[in-house]
Amino acid sequence: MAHNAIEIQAVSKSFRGQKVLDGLSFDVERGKTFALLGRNAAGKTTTIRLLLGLLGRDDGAIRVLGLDPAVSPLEVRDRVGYLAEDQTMYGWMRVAEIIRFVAPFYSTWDHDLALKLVRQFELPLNAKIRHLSKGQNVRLGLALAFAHRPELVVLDDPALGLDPIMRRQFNRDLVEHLQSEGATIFYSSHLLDEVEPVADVVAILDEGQIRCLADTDTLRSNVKQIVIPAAAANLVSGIDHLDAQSGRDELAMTVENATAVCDYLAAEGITFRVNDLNLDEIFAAYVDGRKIETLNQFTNSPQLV
Amino acid sequence: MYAVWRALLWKEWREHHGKLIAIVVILAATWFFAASHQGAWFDALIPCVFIIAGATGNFVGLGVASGENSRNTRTFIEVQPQPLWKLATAKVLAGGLAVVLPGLVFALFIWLFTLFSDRLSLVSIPLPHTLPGWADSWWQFVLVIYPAITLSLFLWTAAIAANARDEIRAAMYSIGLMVVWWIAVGLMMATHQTAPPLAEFLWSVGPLGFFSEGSYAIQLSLLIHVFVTLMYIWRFARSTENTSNDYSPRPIAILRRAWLAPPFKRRWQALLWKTLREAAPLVICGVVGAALLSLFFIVVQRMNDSVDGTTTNINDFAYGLLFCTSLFAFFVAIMCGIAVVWSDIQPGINSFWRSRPCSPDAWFWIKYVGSLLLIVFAFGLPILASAYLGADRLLIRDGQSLVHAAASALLGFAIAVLATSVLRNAVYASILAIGGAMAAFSTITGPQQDDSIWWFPTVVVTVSAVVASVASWLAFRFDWSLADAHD
Repeated sequence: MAHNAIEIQAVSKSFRGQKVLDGLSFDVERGKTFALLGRNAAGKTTTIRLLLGLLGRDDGAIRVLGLDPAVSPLEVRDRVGYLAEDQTMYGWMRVAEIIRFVAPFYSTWDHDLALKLVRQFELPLNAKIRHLSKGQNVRLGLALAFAHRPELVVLDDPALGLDPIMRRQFNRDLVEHLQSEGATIFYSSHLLDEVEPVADVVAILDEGQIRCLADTDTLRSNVKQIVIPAAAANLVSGIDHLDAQSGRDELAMTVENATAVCDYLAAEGITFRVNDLNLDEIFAAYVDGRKIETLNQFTNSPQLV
Repeated sequence: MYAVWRALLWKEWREHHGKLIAIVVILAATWFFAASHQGAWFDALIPCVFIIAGATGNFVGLGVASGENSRNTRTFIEVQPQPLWKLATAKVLAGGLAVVLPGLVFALFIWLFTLFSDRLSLVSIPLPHTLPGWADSWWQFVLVIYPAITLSLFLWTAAIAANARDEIRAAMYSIGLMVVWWIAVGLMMATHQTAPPLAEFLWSVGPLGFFSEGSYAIQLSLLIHVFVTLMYIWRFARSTENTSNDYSPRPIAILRRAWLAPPFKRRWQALLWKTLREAAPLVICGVVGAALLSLFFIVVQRMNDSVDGTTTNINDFAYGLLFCTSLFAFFVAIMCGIAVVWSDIQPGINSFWRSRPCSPDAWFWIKYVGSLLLIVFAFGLPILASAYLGADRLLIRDGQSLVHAAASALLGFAIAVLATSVLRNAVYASILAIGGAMAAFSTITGPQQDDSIWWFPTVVVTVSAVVASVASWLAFRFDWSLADAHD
């Protein structure tokens, strides 16, 4: 059995000359919950479609559960549970009918588990899918994705459009049904507070490349905002940072190696304070901070170090 | 103020101008193919005008009635700060132009064609004697009858099916209601000794009412069509809360049931079940329609017998049944061809089924063959039965026509699947399939030079259908209509 559930090496994909993925590389360890974060059009859905063999890559290598999805797409899909972004199903089918319909496609389908999930999710078996609410629709998608006991579950922005309470329930369902069974979860999202409680590893995808990949705790302990007096700005010009914002008296820098920077500032005798960041702020620093910085450097903004 | 109208008309025209071009091409191609047999130049105008005008009016009307719902754009247009009656009016204007203008362009095409052909004369067209007295020349036939038929069916279809969930449901509502109306009024007209004024009046207030021979029929029909137009605008402009679109969530408690039947054992069983559930309503509607129309003919024949003192035997009834069933089988084949892939190529559904561990090849061919077999069984049995019962009246030529019609229907089915797979538009697919199948039928049923090879054109049409089927399979397999969808 392969150690990693997903292995992606230097994968590129273009649509009509526009590069969507550019040398993408990362691995997902078995049993982990991996969150792929990115803005809209960052390439998240393209990555997922490549993982399921729904698209062909231009370059690079992909292994999902030890298989190449471009060569064995049906075998991959048989072992993967997938819930699409805003998943649409046949509105004329009833809940019971779509479960019976989907069942024979999977070699490991567990009909008793399907019924158990339907009951746990409080889904009305006799209701037509077009009459389900958004939350019920997502739960039905989850039941269909879980009922064949997949080794890997791929979730593409699954809670998109759900209200905060529904989102919390969704995460609870996820933890109850998958993480407790040791399944690998590949979770794509742009709602960061949604993945923060459940993710073991976080990757930030931007413009077709991984900007950052680390486990959630390491990321939170390493990436911090450090605030120093504005007068000391010239002393820290050599420090590599993700984002920098200057006020009248202070300069706030977001850095990846907070401990090392703190040690350096202490050695230099510069007063500073450290602010913890949530995943949302870390994501913004990686994605927006560098772009603003680049733009400002290009326009010679005096506000940035 | 004018900017709003300009914007709405621009949107609608952008949605319809392709249909206009498609209709012109189909009219010209059908006429040209049908007329290319020596001596049949103007005979070919009759099917062009009657069938294509009717079919295109109906199909463009379906798009106007249900296009916003089937594309999920209704909510978007509802939140715009403009009343919906303006958009409805723009839809009627653009759709009306799209169906009427091809008649004018077609007339110009014929006129230019005759200029360069010394064998043709514009005064020698054999017109059907059932036409109203005011349509007594070729230009009136093309320039007046064509727009009248197509506009009438366009408006009635749009009004009856306004706000339907999709084009297929819109077709079931509108065609079903119009056929029932014509049968009911036709039955009344058959009793012409007792109630001529009422029957004529009822005919003139329905679709194609201007064909009525009653007094003031044209004026009354015009008035009714204005009313039908206003009815469409009113229905379209109503809030969706009052329409037939019932996508809204319903209370769980009412529908909850803790019973889950065992799953399907095999993939092909699941796919065949889905195919039957999608195609069966269309086929049942078609069979019921054919049965009603056949019943209508039988009743009319019986009534005529009692009036004329003649006797109609079982052969004549069987002949009527054969004609009605073949006609409905043709149109149902095209509708089913669209339904084979229609739901599966919608963007959300497409992602859903493609992410399951099932080959798209199996998905396509089980649905394709399943639909085709359903049509063959549902319509083939009554056709064979009526052909057997009416064998005494059937000529060899009729038998050949039946084979030609079956091949043409197969081609229509295959083109419908192909056009839907590639264009993802039910209205365009209908128009192209009807045009392609009619062009094929007109071509192969024309005068043959050598009767011993009567089967040859049928083989050509069948091979074309097979080629179209393979092309549609490739389009479906490689997802040509959605190939570049990504985030």
